[in-house]
Amino acid sequence: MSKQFEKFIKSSFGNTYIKEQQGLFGVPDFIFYEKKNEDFAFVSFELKIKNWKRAARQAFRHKSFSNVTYVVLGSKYANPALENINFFKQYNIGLATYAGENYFEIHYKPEIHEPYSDHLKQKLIETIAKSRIKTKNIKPILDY
Amino acid sequence: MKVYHQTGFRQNWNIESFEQGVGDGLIYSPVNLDADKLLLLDSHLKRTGFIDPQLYLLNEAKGTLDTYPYFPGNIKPDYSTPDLDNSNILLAQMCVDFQIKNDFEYIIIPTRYYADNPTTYFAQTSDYFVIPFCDYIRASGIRKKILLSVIVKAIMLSDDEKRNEALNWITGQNVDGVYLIFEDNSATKQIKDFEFLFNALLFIQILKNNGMEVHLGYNNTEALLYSIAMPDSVSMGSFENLRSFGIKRFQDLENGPMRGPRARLYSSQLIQWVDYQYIGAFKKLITDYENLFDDSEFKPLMFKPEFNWHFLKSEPYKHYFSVFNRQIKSLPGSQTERMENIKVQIKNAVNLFKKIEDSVLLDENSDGSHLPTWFNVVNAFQKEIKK
Repeated sequence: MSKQFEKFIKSSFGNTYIKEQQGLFGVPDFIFYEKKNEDFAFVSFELKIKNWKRAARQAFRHKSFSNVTYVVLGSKYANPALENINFFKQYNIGLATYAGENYFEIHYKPEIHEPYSDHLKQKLIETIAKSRIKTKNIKPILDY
Repeated sequence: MKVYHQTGFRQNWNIESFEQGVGDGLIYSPVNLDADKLLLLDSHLKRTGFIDPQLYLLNEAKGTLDTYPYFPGNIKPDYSTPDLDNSNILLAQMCVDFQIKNDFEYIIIPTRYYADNPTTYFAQTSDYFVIPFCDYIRASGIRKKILLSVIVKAIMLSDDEKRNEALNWITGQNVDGVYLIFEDNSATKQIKDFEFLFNALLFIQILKNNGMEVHLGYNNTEALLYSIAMPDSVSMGSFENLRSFGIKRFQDLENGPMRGPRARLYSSQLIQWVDYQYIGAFKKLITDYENLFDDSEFKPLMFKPEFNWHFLKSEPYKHYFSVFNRQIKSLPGSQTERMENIKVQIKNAVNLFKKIEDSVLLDENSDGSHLPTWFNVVNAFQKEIKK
């Protein structure tokens, strides 16, 4: 699921993302970033085939350094999460499903918030600055 | 009930804390402290404490263990179990003499560690350690109290036959009490196993009913729960391997790259160590979040935005020592009242977690998921001792 999803986000939003970044709070599968007026905005994705509750707990941690966090579940096992969509709303965690290729569906789009930790946000900015990725095909992800 | 510092790596934090009046004494760790340095420590740091001789693996020279005169490798190179047949008396003499020289409060009889205890475990322990130690102590006219080290394995709690065998053996020894270590193999940071906790309480209670002193080693927060069985002391430690017994601490392994644990902050109201990274979310989402954490001389510094949280920083541990010691010391002296008090503390913690989890989603090592089990354990134990 991870490789296919990476292909999907790359083609949909460009290459401004980092994979499985260590040293933050939890290890999100992907962190997409967008530069806006000298500041950065971060969108984290936690991919799981199933076990939505575990994924949600992990995604909550990512709110420490992200403006938006998503749990992305495999469509086949997403029903229990969809039945508990209020849980995602309560904690302002996005819920999406991915079924391969371009079949990406957002079921709950969370509100944009400031990361809880200035320190972790700064750490992420420094990581990106060091990575020197040449941006290609960038499309805004926050407004998706 | 006393509170001992279970010392290990960075024992100076425990010593500094003890010197500020936190805790009743120190349990010294030979793998972390050179024997000569221990001998040179001021007597006020030793006369209210004791040493864990740490012969768990007999001849494994971890850390500074081989600086101790009683370390088997210093008696004979390549010392192994059969050597105990010939030199158990010498080992006992050297170990007791060293403890006397340091003038500790108690003399500790060591024990060995096995992944699975052999069937002859108790007979062997008597022959190799208990008898030669007791004989030498008495023949020398030493009047200090003797504690027997005992590692209680999970099977010794869950299996009636094994539990009775252990209890019969312990209570049959001519010693004043036990330095008791429960080996829990819990995958989570708090013990959430009802049977384990309930049977541990019964184990302590039976020893107390038999007139033995019970000193618990390697406790985490569950020391609070164990207090209802009225042990004579519980322990508090800094790093996780001092709050849960694991034999790895005594194995001389080739260390690969180690990942340090996440820094955590203890809250007596929550009866939990919370991952410090959640504090950012607390700050943004919970009104008066600072009140969830106890006041201590370290709190103002830890709550400053520039505080660089790391598991090797002393403040969160010194905060724990101060707060946890206070929490234990404020428990009622009577068992009946103590059980009720602990139930109230658990209920309050559960309610606080409910409020927190309205907005902050915690993981299983920072949340209150251990508390319902603990509440049930207190209830079950209360019922059991009324029988």
